[in-house]
Amino acid sequence: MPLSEEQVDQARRFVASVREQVALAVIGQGRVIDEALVALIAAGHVLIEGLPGLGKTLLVRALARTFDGGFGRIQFTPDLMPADVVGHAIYDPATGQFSTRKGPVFTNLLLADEINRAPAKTQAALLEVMQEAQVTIDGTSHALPAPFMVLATQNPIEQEGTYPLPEAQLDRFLLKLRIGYPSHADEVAMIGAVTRGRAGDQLAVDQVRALVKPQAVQTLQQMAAQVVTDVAVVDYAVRIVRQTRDTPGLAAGAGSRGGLALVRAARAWALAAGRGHVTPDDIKAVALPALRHRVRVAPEQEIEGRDADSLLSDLLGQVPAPRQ
Amino acid sequence: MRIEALSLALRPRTPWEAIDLGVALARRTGAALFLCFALPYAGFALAVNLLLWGQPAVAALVVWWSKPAFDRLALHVLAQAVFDPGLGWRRAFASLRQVPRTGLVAALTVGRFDFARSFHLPVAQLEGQRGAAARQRRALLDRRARGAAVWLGVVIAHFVVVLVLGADGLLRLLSPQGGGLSLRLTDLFDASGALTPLYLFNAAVILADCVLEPLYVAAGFTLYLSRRTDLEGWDLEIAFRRMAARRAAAALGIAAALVLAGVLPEPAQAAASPAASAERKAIDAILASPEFREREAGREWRRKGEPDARDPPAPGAPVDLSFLQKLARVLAELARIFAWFAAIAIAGWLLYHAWRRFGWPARTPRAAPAAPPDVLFGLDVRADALPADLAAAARARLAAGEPRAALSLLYRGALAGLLRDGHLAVRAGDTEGDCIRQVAASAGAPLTTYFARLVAAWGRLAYAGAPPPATEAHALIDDWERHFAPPPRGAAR
Repeated sequence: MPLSEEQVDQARRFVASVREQVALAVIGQGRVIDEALVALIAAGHVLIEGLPGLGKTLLVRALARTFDGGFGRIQFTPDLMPADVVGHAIYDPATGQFSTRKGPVFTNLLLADEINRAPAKTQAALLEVMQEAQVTIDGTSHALPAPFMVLATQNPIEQEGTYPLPEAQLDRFLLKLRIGYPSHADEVAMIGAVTRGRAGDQLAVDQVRALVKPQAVQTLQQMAAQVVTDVAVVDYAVRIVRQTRDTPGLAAGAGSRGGLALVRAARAWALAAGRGHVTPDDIKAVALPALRHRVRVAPEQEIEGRDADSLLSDLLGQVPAPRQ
Repeated sequence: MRIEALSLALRPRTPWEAIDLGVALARRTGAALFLCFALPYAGFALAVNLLLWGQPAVAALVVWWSKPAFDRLALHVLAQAVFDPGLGWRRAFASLRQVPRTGLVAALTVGRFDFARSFHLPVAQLEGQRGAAARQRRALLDRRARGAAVWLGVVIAHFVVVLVLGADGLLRLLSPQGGGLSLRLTDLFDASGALTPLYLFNAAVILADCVLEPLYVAAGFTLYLSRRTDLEGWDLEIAFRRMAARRAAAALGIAAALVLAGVLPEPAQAAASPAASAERKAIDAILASPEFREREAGREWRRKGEPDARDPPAPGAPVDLSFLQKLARVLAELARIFAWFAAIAIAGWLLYHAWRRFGWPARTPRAAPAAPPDVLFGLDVRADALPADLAAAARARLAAGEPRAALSLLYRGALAGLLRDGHLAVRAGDTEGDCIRQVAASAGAPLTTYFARLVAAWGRLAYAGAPPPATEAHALIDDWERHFAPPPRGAAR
């Protein structure tokens, strides 16, 4: 059933207010905030990549603050074990029973900081949780609280001692966000906000108000699922994904999950923009974050200094937009 | 020299073939050559190393410095071997006492740094030339073959290195302690270090020399013979001598001598021989015959004042330097071609870097093709395919309950108008949002706002199947008229 205009408008205002609150703490990263909210509305997970000190962790903390639900954080390190992530059964000598100690994944928003610092076994445990939305400890399945969203961060430099996520696992993230440097004016505003009357260098998130209940987010996610997607728009998304497989500069194109991600994210983008239907512009708006981690750039293009974003932008200019 | 007695086939050879011949000669001479060189040389080297015990570097230097003296032994054997293929090592060894010492002092002083040593050795040792005569001779020989002679030295030095490294590898493989030769130059001058590796190194170098030095001397010797064959026409001389012997015809013998004397450069030794004056007389007699005295008279047109190239230059006349002018012209032409190529290459390079840095210059909407497209977004946007009074037609469709047709007309009309006014240049990948951004970049705010409203209404209809409310549809038609409808005929613009 299509959404009414009131519902759509309500959703838009709701998203706008959350965005406003997050932007109080994360200054100059509007696009990244929008994309993180889109992932939340589309019930997807995000991988955030950026240089140190650009506010990756702050963004997640601020987002969690607006959200009146559970928030957990795991700092990934080389010695982190799967049980440290999902939990384990422990013997209680007093009762003579095994009791289950749930890991930090039992929360609504989970920050997996520097996910590429843990070995593949631990990464795989988290990625499995992301896929299944449940944890099996000692033979018993435990469902994760809904909504559940993982925001993983990684640093594109400092590859020493890291375990890069394989393509198959990157595919589990709905969007990959890139945090760049803020503009001059934003940086001035941010430094002013941090240093005014404060002793440390921590960006404060205490001015961010909690607006969102977990149930509200679930409602929003259900509304996004009802956003009308015309077959021409789906066709456009599929043509873009298929084109990534035939583009000479890309060594590997996106799979079908790429097309799914594109449409899911576009629906959330349309809802956040106050529309009850998806247009080709919505597809185009989310194409880079939805596809950049699902394609592999050919080595000769990397030597030329091209990255996935520039190749995908060229590709978007070539795929004919739907004509209705 | 009895060149007819040489056991080598004399013919013109390239320097590399001549060097190859030397290796073949060394192989054929075999034990006589290698023993006659290696025994005295190795004995001397052993004695030097024992005398200078504890100073392996100094001993190595003394042995290296003395090597030209032992080259003479090898050349002495080789010089016999070219006339006597069956030379045995005993006879060769016995003959070593007769090795001439001409130029030995020079060879062990300044001559030690002669890079074409084995090539020059026969001049001193076999020809017995010294001083200025030897220098002149060497210069003549060098004119064509010095390059090959120097490269021969370079190649042999590399082979010495290869053999020494091989010996080092062998020692490292077989030695239980894992030791080897001392191959670091610094060790040679480090008195505190262990001596064994250094003496092993000396021994390896001496053994490599025993194998390679005779080859070096032999290759240099055959290069020398080849060069002299070229210079003095030994091959022709031998051919003629054989013909003369076979036919026993005196006239032919004279003719051969004449040809040799006329065609070939005068050999240094031949000029000094008493037979030369007799040959010169015979040549003069031939040249005095009537065949060489024929005169031919002819007439031809010639521009006044133009000298004839065939005229001998008048004594005292300036030297004709016109060839320099021609040369300069050729060089100038070459420089011009080069300059053009350079200019094209520089322009290409600059364009490439500009492209790498800035990309191609973006096409402005004004630069769009003059003829706007006929079909856009699947809609026919030709002006003549649209009704003359588009707003009225749209209102009629709206009244008939066809909002999609009405909005389609408006949208097509707006696109046609924007194309006509140059506000749009649509590419394949452009969506509706891209079109709005293009319009915003070139048209005013009211037109952009209206176009965005129209696109939103059309998008809702096209992608969500939701027609706009009637009031909104009428407002869109009214605003369309304001922005796109042509002014009434006769109205002032």
